[in-house]
Amino acid sequence: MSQILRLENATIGIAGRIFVEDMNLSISEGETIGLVGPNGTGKSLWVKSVAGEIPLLKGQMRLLNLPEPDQKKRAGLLAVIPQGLRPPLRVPCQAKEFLSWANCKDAAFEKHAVGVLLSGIDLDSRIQELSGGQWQRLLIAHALLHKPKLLILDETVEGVDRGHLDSVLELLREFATQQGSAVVMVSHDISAITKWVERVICLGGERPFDGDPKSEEFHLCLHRAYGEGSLIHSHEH
Amino acid sequence: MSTEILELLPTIATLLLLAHLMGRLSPWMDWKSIGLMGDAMAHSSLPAIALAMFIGIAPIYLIAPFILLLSVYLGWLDYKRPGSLNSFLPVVFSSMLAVGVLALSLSGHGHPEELLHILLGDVDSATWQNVYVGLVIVVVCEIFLRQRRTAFKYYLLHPVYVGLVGGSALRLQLEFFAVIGIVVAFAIKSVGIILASALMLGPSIAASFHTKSLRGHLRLTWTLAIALSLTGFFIAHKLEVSSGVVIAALTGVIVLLSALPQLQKNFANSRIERRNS
Repeated sequence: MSQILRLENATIGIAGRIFVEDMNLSISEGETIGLVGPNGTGKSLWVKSVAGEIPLLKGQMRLLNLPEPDQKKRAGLLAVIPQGLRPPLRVPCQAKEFLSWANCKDAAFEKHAVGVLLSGIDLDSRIQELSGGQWQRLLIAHALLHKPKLLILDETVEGVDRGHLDSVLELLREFATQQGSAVVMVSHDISAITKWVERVICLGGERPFDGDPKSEEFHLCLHRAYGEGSLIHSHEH
Repeated sequence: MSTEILELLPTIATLLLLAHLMGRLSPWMDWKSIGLMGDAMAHSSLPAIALAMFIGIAPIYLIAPFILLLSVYLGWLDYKRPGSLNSFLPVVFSSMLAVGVLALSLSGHGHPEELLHILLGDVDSATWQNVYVGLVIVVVCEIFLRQRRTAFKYYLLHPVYVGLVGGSALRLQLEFFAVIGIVVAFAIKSVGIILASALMLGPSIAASFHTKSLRGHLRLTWTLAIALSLTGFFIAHKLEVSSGVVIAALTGVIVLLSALPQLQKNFANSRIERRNS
């Protein structure tokens, strides 16, 4: 499996405060990864650094071995759905128009992704008329149609209802394995995320945890990060 | 072709070029919620006018670079502090206007007639030179809009999306604001500040009440800008009054009429809600 993202001794911080120090990380094709941690531990900052919005304070980052500033070559490789993204108020855009911006050439893939993610959504609706969860699903569908090598969802699955959550997460895992991409999901819904990912990164402890979500070490890390009272509720019934 | 029509051709051509520019650009300004930009930029040109009068050169030679630089600076500011522009623009607008008035008063070079000419404009005396300059600006604007359309749509959603289509959000922002600056400078030179401000926003706002899709909005805005300019011009010609003023007034009327059905709908909905409760 070839490497998609590599962080070497990466230090991430802003306004004189360091959130992630000396992080070494490698993300490969086919991986679905959960990024968890309490509020204010630098999850969104990590996303912004990978997206190139804020520079690393120290260390190196390589996306498919491309140098950082080469934005033209990075086109289509990385898709990020930022946290709390709302439809722009003044832009009159229909859901189907928004999907068409991706200009997806793979009709079968588009039909499958749209079918799973956008069931029950009237694609003629204005994006402003969609509910929060429907908008999140539309954002995921749109990002998938670009077929990026690395897809990062910053608390995007949080608004998706229980009826759709499993199929959305399953589709994301399927996307990563079948398209040779990687998906990173930042989330607070630890039990839902850990059910679908094979690897989890936890920020907020003394040092970041990177490993199997079913391991004892991960639960210890959660304990350290969230405190003594932390509990993970299972949604499996 | 009669002599009268031949004489009017530069005016009609200038108006059509300006309407085309405004029709193409104004939806993007409207969607980016920087509607005040054109108005603020146009009124901020007064210090440049004052300096040009003091030196004794044609105002446009100073207005154009001044507006271009100010526009790019505001674009940079909006990028660094998103959402700050709407609070910043009224301050720029009023302080620049004050600096211009002060400079004119102190230098004793303020000729009220000349100032009025710049503010209200005189599209009826447009020359072929205006048309040639307008054509060059249309080409610049079209290159920007065609090459950057997808990136700009994404930019309206969130700057990080620009990376998805391989661009730099800051560069895109600065290019967009530079194009606005160039168009505003051309509009001031050709038709004056008031008509430039009216056409900069009116067609897009009127179109927003009648369209549901992005493509429909773009098409209707352009059609309205052209239709308003031509209708205003012919009404003004019949009444023998200034074209710019008629077009600006007509634009305002169309915006208000377009908003009426929406207001009626809101009123009816609130009555139903009251009755139900």
